[in-house]
Amino acid sequence: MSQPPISSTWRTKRINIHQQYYWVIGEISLWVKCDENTIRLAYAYRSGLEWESPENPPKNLLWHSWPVYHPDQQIRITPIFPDRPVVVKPEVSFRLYPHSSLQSFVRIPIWLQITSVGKKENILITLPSVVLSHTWFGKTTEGELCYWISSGMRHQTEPDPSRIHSAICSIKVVNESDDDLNVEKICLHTESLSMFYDSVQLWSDDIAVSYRGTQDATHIQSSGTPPKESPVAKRISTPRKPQKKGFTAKTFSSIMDLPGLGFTSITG
Amino acid sequence: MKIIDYFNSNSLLTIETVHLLLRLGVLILIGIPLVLIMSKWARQYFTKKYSSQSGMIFGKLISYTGIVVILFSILNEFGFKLTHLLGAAGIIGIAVGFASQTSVSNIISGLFLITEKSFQVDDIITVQGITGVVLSIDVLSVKLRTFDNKMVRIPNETIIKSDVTNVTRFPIRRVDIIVGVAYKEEIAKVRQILLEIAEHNPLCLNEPEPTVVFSDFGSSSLDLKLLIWVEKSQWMTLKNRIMEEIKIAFDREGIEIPFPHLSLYTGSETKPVPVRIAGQDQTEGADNKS
Repeated sequence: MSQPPISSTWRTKRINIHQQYYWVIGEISLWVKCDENTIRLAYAYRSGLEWESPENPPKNLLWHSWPVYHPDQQIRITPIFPDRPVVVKPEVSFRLYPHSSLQSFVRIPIWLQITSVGKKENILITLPSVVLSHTWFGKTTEGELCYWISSGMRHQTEPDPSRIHSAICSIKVVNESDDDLNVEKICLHTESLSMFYDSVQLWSDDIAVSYRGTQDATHIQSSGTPPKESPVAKRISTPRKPQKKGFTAKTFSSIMDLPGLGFTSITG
Repeated sequence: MKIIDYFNSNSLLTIETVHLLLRLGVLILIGIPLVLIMSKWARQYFTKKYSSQSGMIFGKLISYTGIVVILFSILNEFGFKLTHLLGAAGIIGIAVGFASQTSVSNIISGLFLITEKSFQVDDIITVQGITGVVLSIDVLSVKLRTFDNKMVRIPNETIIKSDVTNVTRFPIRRVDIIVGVAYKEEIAKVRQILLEIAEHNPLCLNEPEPTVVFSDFGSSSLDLKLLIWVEKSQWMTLKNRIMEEIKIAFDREGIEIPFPHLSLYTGSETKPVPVRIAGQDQTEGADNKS
């Protein structure tokens, strides 16, 4: 049984027959073992608790199995962004004056794409490293289901190798309109972002969100290249949903009515 | 004897009759299956491309149009002219109209239902106390599948005249849970516990925010209402889980959920009236379980 060091988490790993492997990434623990015919995988989420004996997974675990097509079986865990947009609030709501901009950072818990690498590659399963709560971005009559990021948007960030389960998104909010922009929360379509890794930290490509007033939709541009904060980072995963270079979406929201009674209006 | 001579000599089975039978055979044996296949294809295509509602409409449109065309073609083969039919239809129409008022009303109501789009195929609606999934909006009626797997046919006219609740029209729904706690409990503490339960349940939406409303001073309890929002497909799952989580949390925190009860007092300064059941030695308290 082996627990790989942090830097090798994202590398392809050979799975020996009848040997059990164990990973802890974020709140999820993964167990993988292989015999002559199948790969078996089990997982469980922890809530701040450590397993007493990683070698022995809990007895009530549900094991998933897949047929093995190649004797030289390998497993690769690839970090990807969540399958839904995420909603994030600034630590402190801020206001952008006309034709001004602000750089912010947000940490987004990653999902894990577990791939069987043998004669050919097969994606076995995709799992969140952290169970995120759901939220709704929009009105009660229309909008989209998103994940809620509790960590918030900050104006500065530091790479943290101990937090391999989160990727830093660098967001530049630009107010191109002639009005003030109150930013209380932002909806990010992370499924359109690439992920980069510089052996210490996971990053997304640079995102520029341009607000053009209430009559025009917000324009979102992702660079597709490593972020300025880590120009040497290498691409480790491609977008879940490739999108056209720059797209428009409802991104901003200012809550104008009493929360909790189901009425939120979108101003941008 | 040549075949043509055979037909010429046979007054019943002439060449023209054979041609007529062949044309009728093509119309019936090929035309009708072709219409049904096209109708099925159209339903699948438009369902995949747009919605179940669109698939149903186009499928029915093609099948009804095709059948009418085939029917008129058959009548034409027998020598019935369309113009003559239209003339006769005017007289027959008046007679049929009086006899089929309800059916015509259902047909027109069905058209209004489709154009109004108050609900569509696959929506969950409640009509006159019946809740079910819309299977189809047909010419005369709407068909529902109830959750215990019964098929209910509701005439379109009934639906037009009734209140219809479309449960799944909007993407999110609110779950309202009424919780009664004993009068001795602290409202603030109960409110905090309820909000924490909502916050920790991943299905419960962070926004719109969960809310606790002090609903009523009940006869046996303080009634609070927990209002939480969920994506519509998870409504039942969330409601079940939250109810269990509330019970577990209240048990852990020692919050009493009182059962309905009645206390008898002769006055605010006095003790409860004692009640003794004949044949028993001990005196029981004045609390009667209702």
